[in-house]
Amino acid sequence: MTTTAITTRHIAKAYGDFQAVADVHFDVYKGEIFALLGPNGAGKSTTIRMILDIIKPDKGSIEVLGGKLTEAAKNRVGYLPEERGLYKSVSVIEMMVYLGKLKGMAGKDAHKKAMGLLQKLELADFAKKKVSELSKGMQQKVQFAVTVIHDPELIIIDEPFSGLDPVNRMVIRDLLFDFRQRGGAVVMSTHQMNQVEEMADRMLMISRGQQKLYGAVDDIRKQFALHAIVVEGKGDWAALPGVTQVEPHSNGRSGALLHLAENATSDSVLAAIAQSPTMQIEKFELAIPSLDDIFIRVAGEDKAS
Amino acid sequence: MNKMWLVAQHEFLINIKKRSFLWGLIGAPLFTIGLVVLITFVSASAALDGEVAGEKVGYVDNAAILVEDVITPEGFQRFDSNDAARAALDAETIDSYFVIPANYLTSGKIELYAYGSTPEPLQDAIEDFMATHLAAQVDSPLSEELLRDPVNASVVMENTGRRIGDDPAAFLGLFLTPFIFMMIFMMATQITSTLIMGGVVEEKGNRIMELLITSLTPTQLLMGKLLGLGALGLVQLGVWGIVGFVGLNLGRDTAFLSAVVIPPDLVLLALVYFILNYFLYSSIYAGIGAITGSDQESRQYAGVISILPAIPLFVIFTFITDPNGSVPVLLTLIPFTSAISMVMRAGFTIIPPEQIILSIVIMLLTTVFIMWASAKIFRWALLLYGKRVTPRELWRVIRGSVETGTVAATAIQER
Repeated sequence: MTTTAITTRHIAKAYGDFQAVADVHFDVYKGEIFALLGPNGAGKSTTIRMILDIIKPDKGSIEVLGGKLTEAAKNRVGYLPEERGLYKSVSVIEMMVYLGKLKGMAGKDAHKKAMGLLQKLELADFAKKKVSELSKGMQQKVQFAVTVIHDPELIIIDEPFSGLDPVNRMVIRDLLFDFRQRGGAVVMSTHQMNQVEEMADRMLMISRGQQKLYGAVDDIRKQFALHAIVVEGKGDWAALPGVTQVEPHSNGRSGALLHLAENATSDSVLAAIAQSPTMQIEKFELAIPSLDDIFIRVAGEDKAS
Repeated sequence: MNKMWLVAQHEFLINIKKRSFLWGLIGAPLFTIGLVVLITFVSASAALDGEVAGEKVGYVDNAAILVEDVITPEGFQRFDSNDAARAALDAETIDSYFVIPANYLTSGKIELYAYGSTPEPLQDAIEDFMATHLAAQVDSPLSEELLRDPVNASVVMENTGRRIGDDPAAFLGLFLTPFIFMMIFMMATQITSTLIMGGVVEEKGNRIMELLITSLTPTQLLMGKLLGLGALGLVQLGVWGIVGFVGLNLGRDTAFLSAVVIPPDLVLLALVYFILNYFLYSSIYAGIGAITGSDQESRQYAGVISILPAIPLFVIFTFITDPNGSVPVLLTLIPFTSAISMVMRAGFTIIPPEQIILSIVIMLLTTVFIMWASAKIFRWALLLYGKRVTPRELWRVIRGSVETGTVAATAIQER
């Protein structure tokens, strides 16, 4: 039994003169949430569409669930496109059953599963309502339910949380965690970095069609770690031995960012603070940048070049 | 291919519940029945024209040819002189009067006086009145009826074997048969084709298309739609057929409808052409829906296409006078006008079997080609948004090879 849900090998796609995706190369494993990141127009949607066989790559190869995306394999994949779409003039349950059947389910099973999902999403009372009568948030949840109705092994979601309030965001997040727990693979394309930090195991960042960062989210953040520490408390930080520069912590967070001299370590700075009678610390941590910072840096560099 | 049937089933069930479809389904026969009732009513009231309701008519017999023992119809009143009749007219005790002049037997002329116009049935009543009086004076074994109206012809059309009575309304009825078929054809095809186009436009417009094509192939989607809505079209025909049958039987007594004979061979021929015609036009409409993606734009194109099947109507006169002439034959062979041309001709004449076969073959080939081309365009254009497509581009798409599951790169690039 293979543990890989998606294997892409050096895929590329050009639209006329425009190279939408150039040489992207990654794997997605079962039982993980994989984030696909990148600025607008980076090639995320094109990559997803190539995985889903909506468009063919010019170069490279793609395997989904252990082979080509055949009709049978399509039944094991759930997709939530960026542009959400539902039949407006049909009842919620009718539409869910139809879309479930199109994924190879028997009508009865689809109905049962749909009702179960609606219950979970607190939409059971709306099953017989027309989609157009639902609020935008409810439609989003229905759309999510449609994506997973057929118990796929792989789901590909474009911006899973757009249009959802914090409560519903938690509901969907928990469903995704649950899905991962049961061995499913999630590919989520998003701009919301805090969600990636919170949820994703591994990630791929592309910019202008180029693969920029790829690997475990924690590793990538460490890789971008500065030779610096973040401290909160009282004291003249600049007077500490080994501190070359002090600046306010970025992104509006409290505390100060202390840049260290090459021969200094975080341990030596901590020891110096501990020995100083005038300094007090409430917080002391390595300056690991947020994904937001990394995103801005990588995308910014790309723009500058 | 299983998924194709799922789509067909879904499309059928969803659309049969649509209000617009139900209106067409019920509205069209209601309209037809209303028409039949109206015609029946008009014919019935015309049959009563012997007594023109409420009209009072005077007469002056200066020729002295009216006999006493003939019953005078209601409303007829004798006057002894022109002046007396005139006075009655001026006093409005009568609505009109007629004078039989002294030289009537040689001239055959009478004069009718009235203020304003006189109703046509009144003139018929006067003619009847005169004929009855004259016939009463002829010493003949022939019946009065026969003398009054010696010709009661049935026309037997040798080429079609159809027989119609002498009533002018019956002739109208003969022409009605092809018209009924034609109307049914155009309405049924129009309604279902519009549903197909609207469905594609909706799915494209609300972006559910992207979801659908990760579940099944565009060709399955297209074929499923064509089959599902085709079945809907047949239901429509069936309902109309039953209503028509009942309506015809109810109106059987009127001369107008008695001539509406619908022979089984015509029904079979019509059914074959209906199905071919449906697939031909629906494929085109589905393609239009896929390319345009907006209701308004697609209706503009559809408006142009919907004229095509009606072309035979522009030369309807030729179809009546010379149904086997070159123009009707040509229009029968052109697939876009085949169906209606064929049904019209079949109502008026016997069509040589080789023409029927040739026309069906041409239409079948064209339909298959259009469906194939439409599937290609459909597949190519599904994710095409906000872009005007030129005919040259379409031709390239039709000729080019489009792989399964592939939407043209140019289509995506526009986004």
